[in-house]
Amino acid sequence: MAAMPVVAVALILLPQSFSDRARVWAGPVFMPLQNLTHGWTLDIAEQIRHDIPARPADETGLQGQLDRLENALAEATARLGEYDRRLHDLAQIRKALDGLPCRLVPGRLLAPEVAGGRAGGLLTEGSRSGVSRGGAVIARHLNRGAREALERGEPVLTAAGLVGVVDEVGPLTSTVRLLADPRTHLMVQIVTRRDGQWRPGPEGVARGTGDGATLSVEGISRTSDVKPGDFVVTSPSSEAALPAYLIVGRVVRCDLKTTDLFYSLVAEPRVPPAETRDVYVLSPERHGPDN
Amino acid sequence: MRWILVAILGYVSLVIQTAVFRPGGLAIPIHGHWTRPDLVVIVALFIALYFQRHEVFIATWCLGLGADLLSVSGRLGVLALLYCGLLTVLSAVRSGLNRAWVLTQSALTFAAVLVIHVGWYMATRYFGGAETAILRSVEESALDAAMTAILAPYVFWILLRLRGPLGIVVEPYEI
Repeated sequence: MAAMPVVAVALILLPQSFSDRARVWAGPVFMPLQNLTHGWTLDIAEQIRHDIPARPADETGLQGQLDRLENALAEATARLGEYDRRLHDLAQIRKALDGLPCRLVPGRLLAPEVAGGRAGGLLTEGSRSGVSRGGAVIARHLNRGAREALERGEPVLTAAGLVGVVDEVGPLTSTVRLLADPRTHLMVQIVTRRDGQWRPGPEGVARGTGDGATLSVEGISRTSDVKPGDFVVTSPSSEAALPAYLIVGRVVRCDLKTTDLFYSLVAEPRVPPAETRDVYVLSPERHGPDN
Repeated sequence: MRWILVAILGYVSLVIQTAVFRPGGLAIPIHGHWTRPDLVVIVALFIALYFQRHEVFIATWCLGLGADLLSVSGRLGVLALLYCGLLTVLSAVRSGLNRAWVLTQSALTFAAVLVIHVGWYMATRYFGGAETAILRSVEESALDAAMTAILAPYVFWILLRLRGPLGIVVEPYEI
């Protein structure tokens, strides 16, 4: 019994990442009942909010009502804008996929600070969420998981391009390995634009540099016509793991020494991973036994 | 059997605390702070007032650790230490208190929530590298404490209905 306060003090002195990891481990113990209870609570809270009668409309009340309506209008406009943006994104991605038999699972990347803890850590940083002091974000958590039939290796994208690939799939959340993660290897193709004409360029392998901001593209022969500003897209090769022509990024640096056989290309992801929130997981169409 | 029931009670209170009294649920926003009662402290206080003294230490430590695991930020162990420290002291002086009195239950709950929440807020801000903001911490904790103190007599009444399975000995006038 005397050891218990000592254990508590030892826990306090351990790094924050340990606390975050312990909370993630403890999540499944509480989560099933929490999810169930939370659903009921939302229903009750909604009911209570609707049951509260409106205040009588005297002069001050009218002004108050007007303020409330204005607020509601502003909120609705913002929501509408968000839905509109989502729809636009979806339409754009669908158009780009051009009849590919797949489904788009909308999801949201959790903030790195949130992902380490359980729901909204304000002061935490966790190695599990890809956050370390002075380090770069190379992985993010997604609020979709096995429940939405996500699988490892599926691409995560926005209308602007590829964000990363699903790495670990949990029951309710998943980890997304971002493009800048050194473990990310993609078969890519350079697409160039010369004299107003788009042309498919050479193919290579893109790999995250680990700095959280760039990718290096290897295997581009020195005879190729590549310049900064060219696009990097996923390869159309049948050996590529991802669907073809998803935008990965743009070439920002293009170095070539006289003795080199290959270019040393640095590309910047088209989608800044730290600022991205709404994403879509491109998942193969799955047919049930009846279909 | 008794400890299993205590564990179930702790588990249920932790789940209700985090699932029901949360932003968007039944927490109430006051001055930008989501005010909510702390059910776990009420259960821990009940244990401190009615369980045997050597059991209070273990039970409140475990409850504190559970609360630590379910809190969204801060280091593990802070709540465990605060719960077992404060409530063991309270348990030691309980003979001088009329625990059946509603006012005692509310006042003790208010004080316990205030101390535990202020301690937790400040420790979390300190370890997170932020300002400790004592006044802000006290204000937020006082709001939570007031709400918990209102709820405490009802929870005590429910918990006293379980006195048989919990193996608590109470005087007839206390029921």
